[in-house]
Amino acid sequence: MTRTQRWSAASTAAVALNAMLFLMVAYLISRASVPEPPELVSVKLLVLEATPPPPEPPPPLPPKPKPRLVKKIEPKVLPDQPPPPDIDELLEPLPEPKTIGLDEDMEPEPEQPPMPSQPPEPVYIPSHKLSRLPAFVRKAEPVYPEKERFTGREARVVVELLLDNEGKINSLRIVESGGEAFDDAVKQALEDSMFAPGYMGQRPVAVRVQIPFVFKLR
Amino acid sequence: MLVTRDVALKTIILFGALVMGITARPEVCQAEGLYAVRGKAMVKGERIPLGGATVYVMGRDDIETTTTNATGDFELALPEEGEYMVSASMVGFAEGERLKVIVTSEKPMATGRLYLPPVERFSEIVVTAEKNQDQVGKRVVTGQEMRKTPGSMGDPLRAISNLPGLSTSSGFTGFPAIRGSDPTNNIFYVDNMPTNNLFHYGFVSVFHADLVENFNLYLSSPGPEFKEVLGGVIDITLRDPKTDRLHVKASVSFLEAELLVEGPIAEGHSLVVTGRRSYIDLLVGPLIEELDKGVKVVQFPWYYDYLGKYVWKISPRSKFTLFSHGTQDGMKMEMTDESDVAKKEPDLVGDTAMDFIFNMQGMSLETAFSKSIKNSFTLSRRDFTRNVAVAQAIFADSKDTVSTARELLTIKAGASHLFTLGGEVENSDLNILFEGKTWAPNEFEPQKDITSAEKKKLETIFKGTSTAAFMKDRWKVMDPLTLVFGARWVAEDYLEESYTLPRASLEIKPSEGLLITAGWGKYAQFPQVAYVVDVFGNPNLKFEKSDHYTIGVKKSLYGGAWDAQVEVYHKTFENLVVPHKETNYVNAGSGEARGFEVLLRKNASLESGLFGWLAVTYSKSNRENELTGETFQFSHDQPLVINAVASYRLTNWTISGRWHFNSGSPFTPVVGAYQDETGRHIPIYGEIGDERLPDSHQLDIRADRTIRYNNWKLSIFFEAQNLYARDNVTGYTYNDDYTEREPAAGVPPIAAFGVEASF
Repeated sequence: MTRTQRWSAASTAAVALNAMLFLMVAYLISRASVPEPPELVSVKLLVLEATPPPPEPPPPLPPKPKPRLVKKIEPKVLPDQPPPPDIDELLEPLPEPKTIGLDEDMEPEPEQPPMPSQPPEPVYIPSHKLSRLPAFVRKAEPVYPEKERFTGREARVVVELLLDNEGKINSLRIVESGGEAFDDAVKQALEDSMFAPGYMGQRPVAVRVQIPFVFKLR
Repeated sequence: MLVTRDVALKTIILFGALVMGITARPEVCQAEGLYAVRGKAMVKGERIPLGGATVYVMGRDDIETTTTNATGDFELALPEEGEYMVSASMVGFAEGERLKVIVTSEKPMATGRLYLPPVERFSEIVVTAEKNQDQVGKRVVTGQEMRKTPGSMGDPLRAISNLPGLSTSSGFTGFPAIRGSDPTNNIFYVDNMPTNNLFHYGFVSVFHADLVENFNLYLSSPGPEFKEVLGGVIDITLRDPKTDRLHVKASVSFLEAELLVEGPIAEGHSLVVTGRRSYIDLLVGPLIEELDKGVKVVQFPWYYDYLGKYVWKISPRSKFTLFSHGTQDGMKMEMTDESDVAKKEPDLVGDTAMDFIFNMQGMSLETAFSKSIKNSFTLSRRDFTRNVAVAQAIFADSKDTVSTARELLTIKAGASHLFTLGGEVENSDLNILFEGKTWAPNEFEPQKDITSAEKKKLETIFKGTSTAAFMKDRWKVMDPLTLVFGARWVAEDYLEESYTLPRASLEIKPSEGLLITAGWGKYAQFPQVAYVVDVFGNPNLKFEKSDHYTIGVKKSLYGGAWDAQVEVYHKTFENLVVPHKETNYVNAGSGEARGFEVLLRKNASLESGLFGWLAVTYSKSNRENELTGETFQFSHDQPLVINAVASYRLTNWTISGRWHFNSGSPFTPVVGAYQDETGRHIPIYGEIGDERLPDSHQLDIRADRTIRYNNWKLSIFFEAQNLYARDNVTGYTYNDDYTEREPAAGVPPIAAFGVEASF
C-alpha cells in the first residue's frame, strides 16, 4: 500500500468513524431511556451548618402483623457473606446498643431479660426504604495514616453503620477492609462525626447504611 | 522464564480479546429445591462487581432482603411461585433497572443481574494526602479536575494555566510562564522522569487525558530534589494501569481520535497502551489549500503519539515500571512571492516545513524497605529529532539524546525528621546542523528582519554531563512548626561550573485548617544549548541564577468545603544571557519578578454539585541589560490575570464555565522603516517591550454528560470557546511600508464536540 493509499484509507476511516459516532450519539442519548433517577432524592448526605432541632418523637408504631410466610426458607449463605439477620430477631427487643467504634461483627448477643425501663432495640431500616438518608451534622475527615502515606499505600474501606432514630451510631462494622491503619482512620473519623437520622416519610427511623472511603495519594 | 512466557501469553490474549470483542461471561449455577433468585450486582457502565448492596423484592416487605458479597453475588430466597420485581440499593448509587423474575415449581431458581448507576458525587468519600509534604509555592490538582475545565478541550495539561501564577502568552500555547520566569526556565517531570516534550505544536498535550492522575506544581521555591531551573516545576503523575479487567476507551474529538487499552496481564502485572492520531489534517486539510494570498498548505499540521506503561507490583511495598512514549508532529506550507509576507521578507519564499520526532523510554523501581525507609530509582532516555526548513532563511537538522539516572532515598528518623537524599546524572548528546539567518531567540535582543541578516552555517556536536546531589531534612521542630532545609550541589563538565544551592522553608499550623508558609532558595540553570555551542554561542558562559522568596497563608473554610490561599513572591535574576557582538553571548542580564496571588476554591464534595475557583494574580516582572543599561518589561509580564472557573452538576449534565482575563503582554513595536537599494522597506523596531497589547478576556462554556449502559458508558462533551466573540489581539501585522498596522486576532469563537466510549 502506497503512502497515498494509506492516507486515503485513514482519511476515509476517520470521516466514516466521525459520521457514525455523531449519529450514534444522537441515537444513544434517545435510547438511554432509563432515566438516571434523581440523585439526591433518595441518596444524600448533607453537611448541615448546625444541628437540626431534635426530631419529633415517633408516633407509636401500630402493631406490625407477623409476616405470613407460606414456606419458611433458609436462605443460602454465600461464602464471604455474613448470615442475614432474621427479620423476627429484628422485630424483637434486643439488648443494649453496642459501643461505637468497636470492630465487631453483627452477631446478636445472647438474649437477656428485657429491663422494664430499657428502650427497645430499633429495627434498622435498609437505605432503600428511606425517604431521606441520614446526613452528616458534623463530618470529621479521616486522617491518612502517616506510615501508609510514607510507603505509598492507597486503600478502599467500606463501613456499615447502624444508626438509631436520633442519628447516634449504635454499631460500626468494617465490611471491606483496607488494612488496619486505614480501618482505624475511618473508625476514628466516624466516632468524631455526628449524624442526623434517616427518615421514612416524616418519621426519623433507625437506619443501616454503608459508606465507602477511598484513600488516595496525590 | 515461565513468568515471562505467562506475561507474554496474557498480553497476546488481552489484545486478542480486544480485537475479537470477546468478553467472558461467568456461568451462573442453579441450586435446586428452593424458590430463589441468584445473580450479581454490578456498577452500571463499569463492569465492576458491587459488594455490600441490599437486594430486595419490590413491594414485598415480608420477604427478607439480602446483601451482595464482595464479588457482587447474591441469592435471595423467595416464598412461593410467582412473579417478582427484584431491585438493589446502596448508598452512593441510584436505583437501576429492576429485574423481573418468575419462579415456578419447574424452575424454582431464577438468575439475573442488577446494574446500579453510581451517583457521581456520592459514590465514595475520597481521603487524600500528598506524596510530597512540602507546601511552599505548591499546588496539587488532579487530572479529573483539570480535564473538564472549559477551554481545555478535555486536555488537563492545557488547563493548568487557569491556576494562579501560570500564564501563557496566547490561547495558542500551553507552555506557561511561571511567576515571572520564561517558559524555558521550567522543568517537567512525568512519573519522576524529566521530559521536555509536553505539547504537540505547543498546545495539545502529548498524554492521554485519562492517564493524567495529578499535577504537583511548584511555582517558586521548589525543594532541592528537583533539577536546577529558575522557574517552576511541573511534576505529572500518570496513573497505573487498571488491574481488575480489560478496559478499552475510544475517543473522538474534532481534532483527533485516540484509543486506550489497559488491564492485567498476569498476577501483579498490568499494562496500559494508548495511541492517538490527529485527523483534522485529513478532514480540513483538503478544504484549505490556500491560507492567505500566496500561502499554500502542502501538508496540514498533523501529529500522533503513543504511550505504554507496564507495572509490576513485585510486592505490596515494591513496584517496577517500564515506560515508553513517543510523538511526531509535521506540517509543510509553501509561500510564493505573491504573498504579503514575502514582499517584506523575500527570503521566506519557498517551502517551510517541520518534522519533530520524539521518543522516550524509562524504567523505575520504587521500594519501601521498611516503614521508615523507601527508595525510588529511575532511568530514562529521550531522543528528539527536529527537522526545520524555513524557505531560504533557515535549514536546521538536530538530534538530541538525553539520558538521566535519578536516585531518591527517603528516611524517616523518629517522629521529627524526614530526610531526602539523592542524586542525578544527566548526559546530553546533541548533533546540530544549521544553516540560516536567525539563531536562537533571546529576550534581550531587539527584533530584526530576517532577509537583511547574514547567513551562517554551523555543524557541531554538543556533549555535556551534569552530576547533582541533594539533601533535604523536613524537621518537625514542635507541633505547629516544621522547618525544611537542604541544598542541591551540581557540577557540569561542559561549562566546567559547579554550584551549591541552599534552600529553606518553614510551615506553621497555628490552628486546624490554617497554614502559614515561607520559603527561600538559590537556583541556577544551565543556559540554553544554543547560547553555549561553538561558533554561534559562547562556551565560557556561566549558569543563570535566581533567588526565590515566598510567603503564603492557606485557610480551609467551612469544614474543608472551601480553601482560601494567598501567596506573595519575589524573585531576583542574575547572570541572564544577553547577546554580545564579540563573544556572541555574555552573562550580563538581570531582572526581578514580584507579585501576589489569591486563590479561592470551592472543593468538589459529596454535598454540593458546585466546584470551581477564582484565581487572581497581580505581578510585575522586568529585565535589565547590564551592558547597555536598557530596562524593559519581561515579554510574558501580564500584571493582572483573573480566572474564574465554575462547574455545576445537574441531574444528567455537568455545566461549566470559565472567564479569563489578562493584561496585554509587552511587545516591541515597529517605529519606522527605510528603503534599501532594492526598494524593499526595512522595519526599524522601537525599544524592547515598549508597548502592550490590549487586555484580553473571553468566556468559555462546556457541557459534559456520561450515559451509562449496563456494560459500557459513553461520555460526551460540547464546548464553546470565546463565546462572546471577543477579538483578543495577539500581535500586529504591518503593511508593505510599515506605516499602518492591523491587529492579529487570537482564538476565534470555536464550538467543539467530543465522544469517549469506555468498555
